[in-house]
Amino acid sequence: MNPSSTDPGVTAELTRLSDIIERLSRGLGLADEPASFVTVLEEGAPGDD
Amino acid sequence: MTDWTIDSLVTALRTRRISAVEITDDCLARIDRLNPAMRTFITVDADGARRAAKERDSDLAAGRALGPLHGVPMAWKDLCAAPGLPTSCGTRTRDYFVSEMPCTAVARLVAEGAITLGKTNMTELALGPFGDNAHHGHVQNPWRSGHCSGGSSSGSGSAIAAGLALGALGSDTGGSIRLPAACCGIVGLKPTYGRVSRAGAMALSWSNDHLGPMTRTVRDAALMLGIMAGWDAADATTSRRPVPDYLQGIDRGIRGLRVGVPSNYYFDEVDAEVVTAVREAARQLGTLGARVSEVRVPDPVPLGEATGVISRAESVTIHERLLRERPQELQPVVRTRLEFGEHIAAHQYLQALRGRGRLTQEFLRAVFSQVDLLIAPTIPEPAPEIANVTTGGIDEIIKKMGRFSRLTRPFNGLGLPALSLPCGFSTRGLPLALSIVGRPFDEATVLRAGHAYEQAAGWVNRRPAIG
Repeated sequence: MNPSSTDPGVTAELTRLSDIIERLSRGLGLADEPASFVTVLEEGAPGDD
Repeated sequence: MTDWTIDSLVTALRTRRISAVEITDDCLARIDRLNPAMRTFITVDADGARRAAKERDSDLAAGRALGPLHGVPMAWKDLCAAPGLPTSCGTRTRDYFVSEMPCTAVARLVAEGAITLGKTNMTELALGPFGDNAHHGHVQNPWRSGHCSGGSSSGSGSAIAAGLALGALGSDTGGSIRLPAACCGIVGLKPTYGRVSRAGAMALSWSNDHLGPMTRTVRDAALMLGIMAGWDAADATTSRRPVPDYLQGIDRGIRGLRVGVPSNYYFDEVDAEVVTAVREAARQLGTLGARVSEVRVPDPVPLGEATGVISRAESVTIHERLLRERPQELQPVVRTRLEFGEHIAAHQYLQALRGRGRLTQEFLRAVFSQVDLLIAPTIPEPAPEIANVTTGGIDEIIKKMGRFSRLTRPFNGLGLPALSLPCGFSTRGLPLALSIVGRPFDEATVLRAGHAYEQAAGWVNRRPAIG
C-alpha cells in the first residue's frame, strides 16, 4: 500500500491489508491470471464439473 | 394494493379485474402519502407512469402482444439510467450519472411491459449497508420507523415492503440487494456474476457489482430474473450461457437436495433470534425433503479482504473526479471510504484479483462437492436503529458497516447466486432473513429451494402496519 497517508487509522488498516495481500500472493503461481473471473464461474457451474 | 404480487397482478390485469391505470394510480397515491416520511423515492415520474399505463391498457384492449410484465408498476434504484429521468446515485448532484445508453436491465423489463414509477433512494454512491442518506433523507424501515431499511438499495427494499411498487431493481457490491431485502422483510436476489448485464448502471466496483430483482415473493424474483438475465453486448462480463426458464420447475420441491449449514464463520457473533430463526428454517427444509447437514466452508476472511482491496481500488478509480473536484459534497464516511482506495498500489490490486480467482476455485471444489446449496443468516442482527449506526467517529461507523455486511460480502467475492428471504420476525417485530446460496449460474435451484421454503413457512403473508 502507498504509505502517504498520515491518518493513524488509515495507516493501520493499510498495513493489515498489505499483510493479507502478501500472504495471499504466496499461494499464487505464474499461471494465476487476474482476468476471466466469469470463466472461473462458468467452469464451476453445474454440468461443467 | 398491498396484497398484490407481480404474479397475481398480471393475472388480474389480463382478466380485466383491474386496469394498468388503476394499479398505477394506486401506487402513485401511496407514494404521495408515504414517501415524505419514508424517503423511499428520489424521483417519481407520475406523468410518465400514467402515460405508460394508458398505453398498456390500450394494448390490452386491442389484443396486441403482451409481455409477462404487462402493466406492472416498478421502480429502479437511482443508479440505473432510465430515459428522461435524472440519475443521482444518491449524491447531491441530480444528474451525477449520465449514460449514453439506458440501463439494459431496465430496458428489458420495460420492453416486457413494466411501468416505470420512478427512481428509488439509495446510500450515496452505493457505499454503505444501512440506507442512510444525508442528501435525500434516511430511508425508513416500513416495519419500524427509526430503524434502518438496509442499504445500499434502501429505497427499493422499502418500496416493495411498503407496497409502493410491485418489483424493483437493486445493485449489490457487498450485500446491497440482500441487506435491504433482509431488513425490510422481502425477497432479494444477487445473481451469479456475469448473469445480468450492468450496462447503463453506475459502477462502484466492476469486479463485484451485480444487478438483481427485489420483490415480495421468490416466484416474482424468478420472473424478473428470467427477463433481465443473459448476454449483453454492452457488458463484456456477461456470460453467453443460455438463460433457463426459472419458473419452470420452481414448484418441483426440494426432495433429495443437499443443503449445507456452515459450521464456521456464518453464525459467529450473530444475534440469538437470528440464529434460532435460520436453524429453524434449516429444520423446515429438512421436513420438505432436503438432506441438511453441517459443512465447514473455507475461511471467508482472506477472500473478503481481497474483495475489499479490489472494491476500494475500483471505486476510487470510478469516482475519482468527484472526490478530487467536489469532496465537500460527499458525506464524510463516504469520502473516507473512497480515499482509502487511493493508497492501494497497482500490483496489490492485481494480486487481489489473482487471489480471488484462486480462492473461488478452491471454495467451489470444497463446498459443492459436498452440498448443492448453502444456507446462512443474511444479517447478523435485526435492522438496527438509524441513530445508532450514523453517530460516532468515522472509524467507528465504518467498523459498524463492516460488521453488518460481513455475511453477505463473501458471496460478492465468490460471485455466487445468493437469495435473501424472510425467515421470521424478532420480538420487536423486525424481519429476520435467510440466505440461500448456490453453484455458479444455478439460480434455478436457489429459487426452487427459496420458493419451497417460502410456501411452507408463510412469512410472505405478513405486511407492515403502515398506510
